[in-house]
Amino acid sequence: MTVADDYTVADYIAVDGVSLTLSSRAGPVNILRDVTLTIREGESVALLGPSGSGKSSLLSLVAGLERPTNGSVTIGGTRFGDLSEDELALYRRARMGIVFQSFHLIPTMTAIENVALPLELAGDPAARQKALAELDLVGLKARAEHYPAQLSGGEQQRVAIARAVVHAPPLLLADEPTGNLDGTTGHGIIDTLFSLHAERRMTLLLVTHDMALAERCQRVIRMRDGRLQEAA
Amino acid sequence: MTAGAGAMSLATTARWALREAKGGLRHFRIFIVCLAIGVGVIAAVLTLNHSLTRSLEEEGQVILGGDIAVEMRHVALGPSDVSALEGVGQVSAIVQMRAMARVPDKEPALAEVKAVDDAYPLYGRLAITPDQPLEDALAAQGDAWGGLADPTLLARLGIGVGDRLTLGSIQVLITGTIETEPDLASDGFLLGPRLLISRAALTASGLAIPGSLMENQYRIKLPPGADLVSAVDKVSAVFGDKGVEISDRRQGAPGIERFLDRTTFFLTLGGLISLIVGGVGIATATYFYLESRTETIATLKSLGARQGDIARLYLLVLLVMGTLGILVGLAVGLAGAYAGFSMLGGELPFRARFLLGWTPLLYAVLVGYLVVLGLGILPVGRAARISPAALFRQVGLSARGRVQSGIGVVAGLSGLALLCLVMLIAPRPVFALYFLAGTAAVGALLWGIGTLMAGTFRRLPRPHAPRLALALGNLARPGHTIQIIMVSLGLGMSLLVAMAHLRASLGDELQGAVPENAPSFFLTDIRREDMPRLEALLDEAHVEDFNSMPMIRGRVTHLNGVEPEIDELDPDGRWIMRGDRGFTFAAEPPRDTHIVEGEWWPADYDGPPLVSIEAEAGYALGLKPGDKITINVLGRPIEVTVANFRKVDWSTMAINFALVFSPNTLAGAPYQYLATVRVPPAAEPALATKMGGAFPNITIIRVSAVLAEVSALLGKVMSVISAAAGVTILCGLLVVAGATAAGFRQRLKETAILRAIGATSRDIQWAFLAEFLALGAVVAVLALAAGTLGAWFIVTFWLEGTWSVGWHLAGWVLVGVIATAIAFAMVSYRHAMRQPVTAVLRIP
Repeated sequence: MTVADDYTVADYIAVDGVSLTLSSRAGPVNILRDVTLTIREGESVALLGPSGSGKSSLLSLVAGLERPTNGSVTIGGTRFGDLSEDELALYRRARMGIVFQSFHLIPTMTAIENVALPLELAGDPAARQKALAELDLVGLKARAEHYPAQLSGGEQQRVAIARAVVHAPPLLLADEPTGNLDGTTGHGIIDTLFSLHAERRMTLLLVTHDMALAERCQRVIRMRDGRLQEAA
Repeated sequence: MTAGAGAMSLATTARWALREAKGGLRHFRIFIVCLAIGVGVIAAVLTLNHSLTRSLEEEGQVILGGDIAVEMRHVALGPSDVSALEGVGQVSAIVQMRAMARVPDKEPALAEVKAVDDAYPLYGRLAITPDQPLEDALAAQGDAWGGLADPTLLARLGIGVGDRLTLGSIQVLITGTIETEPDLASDGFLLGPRLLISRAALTASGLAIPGSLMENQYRIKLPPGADLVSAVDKVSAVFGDKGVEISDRRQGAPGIERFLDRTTFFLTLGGLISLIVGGVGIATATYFYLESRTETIATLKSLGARQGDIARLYLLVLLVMGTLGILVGLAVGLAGAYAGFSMLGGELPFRARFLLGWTPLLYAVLVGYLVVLGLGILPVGRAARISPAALFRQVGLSARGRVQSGIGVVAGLSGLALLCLVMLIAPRPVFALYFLAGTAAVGALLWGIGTLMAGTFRRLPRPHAPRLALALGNLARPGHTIQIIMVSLGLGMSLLVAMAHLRASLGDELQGAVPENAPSFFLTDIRREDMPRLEALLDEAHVEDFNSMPMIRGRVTHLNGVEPEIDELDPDGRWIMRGDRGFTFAAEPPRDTHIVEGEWWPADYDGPPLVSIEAEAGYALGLKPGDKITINVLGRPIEVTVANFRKVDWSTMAINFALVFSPNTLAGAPYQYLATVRVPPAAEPALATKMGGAFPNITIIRVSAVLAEVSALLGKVMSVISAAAGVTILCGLLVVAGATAAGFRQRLKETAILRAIGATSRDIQWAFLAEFLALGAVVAVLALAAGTLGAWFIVTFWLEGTWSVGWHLAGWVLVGVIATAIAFAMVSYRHAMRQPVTAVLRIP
């Protein structure tokens, strides 16, 4: 896989005329309808909308976890439609970090093992040291050998963030990162996310239904019924 | 249900249980299959045994050839004895012996000759082709006597119906072939195919002379309504201690009964191993099912259900599923029994019927329920203790931990009852107990090694290679089922490896490991007057070795003047006392004699009769040099003093006798010679033809042919045991599949997470392969070790044979394990990759 460099800072993420239709027993369901948006490199963008508006689906298209029914997704000049599943996996491994609402840590691995995973996949011999450093950054060095079940929700999400950024990806995707957390814990998580964004100049695409959280981003894009409500 | 009120009513519990069972059916697939296999094997084996045993009982008269049979080995009964028998019922007299059937320019063939009178058969029907009256088929025709032959004999001699063969000094015209012989089952192991002639023909052949190895049998058909027991008593009274063997229709074929007993025994053991391995599957499936109900149980308890309510509810679910498994097992078992019967039916030497019995089915059902209770109730007890707090945090079902005392008692009683039931079912309870204990010990060892491995995997440093790191991560996971895989696959594989080694060892014992100087032929019925000519012929043929000893038939009747109860004697010596034996006499110690106690007599000894006894048997009979034994030779009792004990190595296959007398003991008794001859294998056919032509009365037994027969029989036995091992492995594979599937939801999620953070399909594929191959390799190594050790133990200490290693077959077992591991890895991988990441991670 080659990553093209002929993109402009203005259209680091380019979603062009994307539709996503899923089949169901009741017939086809249109999840996304003709969505077009661009995001600048280093920008922080919030996708805001009620449940079922299609914001998480749009995020999964940007992550390459789902393929659009129509339209194209291009990130950093790489058209996802041209890549195989494995090439998409390699792209994510090298250039993307994802934070899930439900954390999705591997329960049978300790915190440090979870964080080291992307580096180990890339064959980084210093995976464990780097993972420990990242855990230190999110304030969980002391809990490195704990299993997810032994951590609180907030701690689990901080481990998930450490895992998402340990390989220094240029793009960080976060799907309702505070959705399963209480207010205070959620604020702490958001602070961590935004400080990482600021320090590492990552592009941040954040899905949320929390207006206050969305407003901390440089740009807010509203969604409803699978469409963008505002010009992106 | 109301919190604080009494226990849930049975009706409510039953209703809930049915609802739970219906919803949880998919969790119970392996449970049902494992239980069905275990119950099915037990039901099949017991039903088959029931059918054959009952058929044997029903066919007792036909198999024995009469209601009562009287047998004398060496001589025929006198007219007064025969007329005494005729006072009891209709009598049919038969003589059986081995002899050589010859045709010109062909190698003679050993035939089991049966000479019958006009009354034969008293029961059943002799089926012959072409159909004709037996009297006509055996009648003299010109210069030849009529005869019926087993088609195998004709094939060996290259002749057909209408051709002639020579038997002793007569010509036998083959008038037809024998299709079924009603009393074949009572004749035991036959060395050659049957040749049926008339008694008059046998007399004319000159083969049946005093000293010949033959059996004189008299079958009696009682008049309708006659009492069997009093008739047997009457016959016994006629003969006293004349050395006859009397049997009746209740034990028509002790040999077949022993065969059935052993076959049932081995198959029952196979069934028990399947049940043990299946038991692992049943326990695993129960555990995983109850774990999946954690949230439901916690919710029920938060609503007021008590431990007892939960225990009863899920026990009922288990019993519903158990009933389903048992019903499937019974159906499969009956089908299996019928299939087995259909395959065996044609091979059996008696007419058997397929009979259903309630007792075998009841045993199978009881085994099934006791297994379900014994294995299921502890997890149910633990599930009942799940805290409602499980709703708030990740608390699963504990695989250990205390249970209510009532639950513990039921589990213990079920186990004990199961053990008692197995003792009741198994033909040899003590051996079955040892076997079960041994299997359980191997199972526990495999489980322990699995636990050790899981701990080791957890402590190993994570490798830098990402795929290996993933594989190790999977192996080290707390919920991994390493122990289950070790036991469920390890047991079956160990059994298969043991079979491979046993097959090699016993095969070598029979063929390769036959002593270097083993004879090529055993010659029996050599008349004294023929001996010089035979020696000259063998000398001319430049045989490598020739050894002969005189032989007289007789039996031991008393030990130190007392007639012992044979069944109460030590088995190592009992055989000496049972029926007729071959005796010999010698002035000099026979070849390779090793005296362990006492002295050999002088060459010119002429004192009171002396005997040298094989040491092991002598000691087992409680004898010592100086003691007296009484023998009966041709009706004459002789008291003999024990002069010495000899050590005899029977495995050399040289001629040897348990009892060797001083020459004067048997002076005047008619005897013939027994001899062994050794020639290079290539020279065997020519020498057999030459001896057969020159000495029509000598019976020539080719050692290699007998070994081939025994080897074929051994092969069949091994195949049956290997089939049992196959069922065990099938059970093991199902258990592994079940355990893998049960933990698959978690694995699926982990795979999706890995894919989301950048693992390629190849990373995941290699991780799966590395994980399963590592497990497969450990199972293979353990199975090789356990199977080899077990087989070595059996061969060395139990069979006291020569240990040979069957690496070839064991190697295939290894290949099988690796192939299975790869198959499991690939199926798991494909299944995991088929699921979209977004669906597994529930990204809307």
